[in-house]
Amino acid sequence: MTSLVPVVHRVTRSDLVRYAGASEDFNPIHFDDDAARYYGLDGVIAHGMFTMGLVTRFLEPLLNQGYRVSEWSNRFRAMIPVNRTITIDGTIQESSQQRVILNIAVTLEDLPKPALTGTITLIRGLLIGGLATTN
Amino acid sequence: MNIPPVGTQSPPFSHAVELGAIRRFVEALGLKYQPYRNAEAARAAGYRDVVAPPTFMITLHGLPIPGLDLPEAGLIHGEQTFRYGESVVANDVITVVSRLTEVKTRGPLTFLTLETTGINQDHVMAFVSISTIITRESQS
Repeated sequence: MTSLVPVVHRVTRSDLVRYAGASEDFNPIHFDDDAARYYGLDGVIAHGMFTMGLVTRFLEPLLNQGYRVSEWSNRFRAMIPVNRTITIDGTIQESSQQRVILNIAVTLEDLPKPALTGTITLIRGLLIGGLATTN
Repeated sequence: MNIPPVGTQSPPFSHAVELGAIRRFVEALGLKYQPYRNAEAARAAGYRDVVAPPTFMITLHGLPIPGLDLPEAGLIHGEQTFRYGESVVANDVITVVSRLTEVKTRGPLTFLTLETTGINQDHVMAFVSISTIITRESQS
């Protein structure tokens, strides 16, 4: 198995506008500073699901080896303000030809504790629950 | 705010999964895995068509749960879990039902767990999405 490479990404306002459009999550705290301040924030913050979605980039080397995600669980621990740099990294908890379990963390450049932590199980092969459904 | 009894569920709703919706989602996240972008690559990897990335399932939301009335502001998405079955690909039709599965209070906070199940056009389970939502408001 190839080693996993951390993903470093600066979260921009245009990321969040594009994600809002793509996900149809138009909560204004993710693109409008006035709205964010009205709700007591310092400014626009990333959608939790945007951050979780970015973690998919970290998984791509495994996807390219034929693994696919079978279960993914994570906790959103801190808000991620716009114009900050995040690092997505993970450790392998268990690994075999058929299955990999990763512990992942997303950290903000200046915060010691992760903003997101989670566990992802990937399996290899297309048989899920005993159902072969490829045509 | 109003919270109905645990177990209350939404009427079913069917989403047609559009290729363009998958493309926009993949672009918004900057994903490069070819089966997310290209039907030929998807078939070569064993998928039926261009495949939706794991977190795309959040866009296949259920209809509102009857009686569940949450404040528009101040909701925090605390936790998210997905369990996956058959892959969701372009042109699938996914029927979803959402259900309130747990309500907990801790001090001033209320934790709601909502579970959405997606079944495809062949009646095969595609995913279960479990979201924990936290709100500060108390039930009125």
